[in-house]
Amino acid sequence: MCSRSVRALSLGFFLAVGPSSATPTNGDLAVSNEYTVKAAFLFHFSQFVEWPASTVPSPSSPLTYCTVGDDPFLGALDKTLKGKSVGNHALAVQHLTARDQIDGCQILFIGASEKKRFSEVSTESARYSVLTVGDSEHFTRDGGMIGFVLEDNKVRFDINLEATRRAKLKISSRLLLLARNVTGSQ
Amino acid sequence: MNAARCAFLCTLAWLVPTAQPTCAQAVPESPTDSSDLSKLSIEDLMNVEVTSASAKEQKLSHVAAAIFVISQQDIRRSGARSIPDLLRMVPGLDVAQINGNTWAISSRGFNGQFSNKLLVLVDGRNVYTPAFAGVYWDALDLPLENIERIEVIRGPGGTVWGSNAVNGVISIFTKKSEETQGLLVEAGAGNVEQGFGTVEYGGQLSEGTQYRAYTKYFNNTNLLGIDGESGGDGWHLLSGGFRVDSVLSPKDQLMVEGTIYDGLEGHYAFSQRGVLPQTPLAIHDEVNLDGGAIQSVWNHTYSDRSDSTLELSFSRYVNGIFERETNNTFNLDYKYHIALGKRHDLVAGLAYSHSHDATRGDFAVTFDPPSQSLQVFSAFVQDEIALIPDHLYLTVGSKLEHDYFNGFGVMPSARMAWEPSSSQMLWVAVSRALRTPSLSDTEVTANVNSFVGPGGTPVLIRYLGNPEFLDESLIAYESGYRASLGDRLSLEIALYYNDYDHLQTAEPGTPFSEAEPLPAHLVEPLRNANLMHGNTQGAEVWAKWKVMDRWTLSPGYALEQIHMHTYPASTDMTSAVSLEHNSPRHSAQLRSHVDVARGFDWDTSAYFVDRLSNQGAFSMSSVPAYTRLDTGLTWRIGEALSISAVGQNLLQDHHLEFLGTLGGLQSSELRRSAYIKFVWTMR
Repeated sequence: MCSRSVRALSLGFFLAVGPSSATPTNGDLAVSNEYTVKAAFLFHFSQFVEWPASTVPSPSSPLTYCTVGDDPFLGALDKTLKGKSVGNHALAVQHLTARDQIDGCQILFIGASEKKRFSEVSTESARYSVLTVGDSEHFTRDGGMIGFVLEDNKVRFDINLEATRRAKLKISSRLLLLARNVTGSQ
Repeated sequence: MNAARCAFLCTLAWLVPTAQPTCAQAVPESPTDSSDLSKLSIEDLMNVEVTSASAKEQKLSHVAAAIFVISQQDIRRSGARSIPDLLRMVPGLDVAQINGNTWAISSRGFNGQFSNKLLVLVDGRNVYTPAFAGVYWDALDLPLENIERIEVIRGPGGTVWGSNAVNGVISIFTKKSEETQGLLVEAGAGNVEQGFGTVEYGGQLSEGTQYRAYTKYFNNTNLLGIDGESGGDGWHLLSGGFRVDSVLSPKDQLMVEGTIYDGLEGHYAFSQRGVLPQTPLAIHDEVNLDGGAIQSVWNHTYSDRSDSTLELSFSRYVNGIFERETNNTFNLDYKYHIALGKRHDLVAGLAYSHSHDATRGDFAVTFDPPSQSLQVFSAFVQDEIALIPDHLYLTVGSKLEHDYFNGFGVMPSARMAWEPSSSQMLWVAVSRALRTPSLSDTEVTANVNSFVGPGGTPVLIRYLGNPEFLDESLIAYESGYRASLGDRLSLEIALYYNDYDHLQTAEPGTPFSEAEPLPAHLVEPLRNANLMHGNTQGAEVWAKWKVMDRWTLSPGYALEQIHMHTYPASTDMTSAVSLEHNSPRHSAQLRSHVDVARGFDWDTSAYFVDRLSNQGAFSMSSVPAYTRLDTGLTWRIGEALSISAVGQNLLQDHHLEFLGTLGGLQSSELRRSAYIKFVWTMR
């Protein structure tokens, strides 16, 4: 759990007891696995985003969540969304490889390993009105739409409205109020 | 059963939640779906505190050492049934099976049944035995499904891990309990491993506290002895264990785990039973092996920039092979980490270990004194300095250790890592490491062989420990390069030049006559000494190539060149020669993983190992080069069930991998084998 000591050949000292997840049941504040929490955030995001009718034509159209690159959720996203719906939208998850098209996705989590193809994926996302979410450094600055950050061991997010506007996505003001930083305007 | 063992078992029983019905009442019903955070509002989610392992764990590609990581996926797709077989995939490790239940495993040369320059840790607990300087691989049995990863470092790690981390460190990490919730049943059978099974259950004790408990069994038949007869080396082992992980507070995590095992194994040993030459040379034996361990790891986070770990462990084993050796070891290990300013990342630690050995001698091997306690104290500090953040790092540190035989030893190292871009890294390192004396170097008397000399007088060859035995020392110069070339290819190269001194020799002394035991005989003593030096050079190259989305190929190659020289004072004619040939000059491998169709995995691995010469009791035999081919098909039926069929050593009916040494074990040949396995999970 220390950073550099790993690099410094002391692998394993602080990793012997890795991440943990004692999960809250009634909103009490325990400690949770980072990606279980991020998966829950992703679940909520779809309530606060309006897609153009060309991609989500009706209130009962399914919403597809995709991941591309290294998937840090390790099953947590599938578990969170399994059997759920938002409004009348049924939810589905797909794990894409670099070769797959993203046009079937409404929400795309871009893993840190996709750094090199980032601009390509961003352009595609804008074209197909896909909401991009990530947690790599400078995610929103580099053109991503919603970027997770950790502050005091709590999950926060930044929103890049310039990018969502290009993708013809509308973000609810309730989400904008919760964001840490908002850049651009709708 | 003696009192200590009973106390140990009782402690285990108390700690295994399922074993104690009275514990169950204290366990609250786990909430219906406690992991469903999506029921919280997004505002509430903003207040949930998270553990951010991923944010702080560095990718392994930043480690300035020759590291190879065996992931759970590698384990699943290897078809291997034991930890030694898993290690075959690491370029630069020499893995050879001596008989059904004994292996010779080393890193970068010096292979042998007790290869004394390789450290093995399980969740941080050292399993290197200080009595015989090596690892009892037969006793290192845990469900492979529970392993999260195995990190293998070739090269010294003395600065952090201390003595005996000379040529490598193997760290096995088991999964956290939360990752093994629910039921797992594994069962299978084959022509060598005739029956095996594991049952494991994981559950939640209370909010934030999960556990798992398992039991595991296997029964292996005999391999083929080198004399063409049965190897007499069948064995079976029953083991059990548990792990409990608890989040005590947002800043404290506690892990407690334990294992226990009991088994019976056979072998033919060349051990000397009396003064006269014996026929047959090798005599069959069956020995018990049992033991267990319990350990705890407590992590405390002070802030984003500092944390500490306290590890306590107690382990015990009884090994029948070497004169019914009983060992009890206690370990305490404390480490503290702090990031200082923008450029310094400091780790410091203190450790203490107490190991008690009791042996019962016989004609072949005796220890004087028969029981002995060894204590080791150590401290280390290591600083990683960001000379140019994100690009250039220097790591310097040293360990200071005090051991029973030689007092203080120092193991410094310096490592430099340069990352010109995020996809490339170049590193260089210089380090010193020590192999400290074991009881078998210092306090042993072993009658290893006898023959009828001139005039019909029996001559007994006797190996004598040397209480003045020095630390074997190494100064290692290493470098490496790793790169990911696009999405599909990653490549790694490691080079080393190792300079050794005070290496072990067996010096012939002046023969003397001895009246007892009868008949009167002549003793030719061989005294343990430190009269050899030498160097090794080598290279390891491996790659992972994603040929297609469904197909991955992993080639690897290792070169080892060993040059040993005895000092003029030495009259030992064999040690240098046999060290130079105990490890293969060339070894190569190719692993292929194909996702054939939905639910079907096809995995194949081929290993080439070069010839070993100057092997065996009198360094006059050799082990021919061989290629080992394994292949397996796994069919996953839904989420719950998978069926695998695996064939191993497919190219030959049988092959030899290693020859035992004077007074050691008779080797067996590995047979072509196959097994079928069912795994059923309810998670």
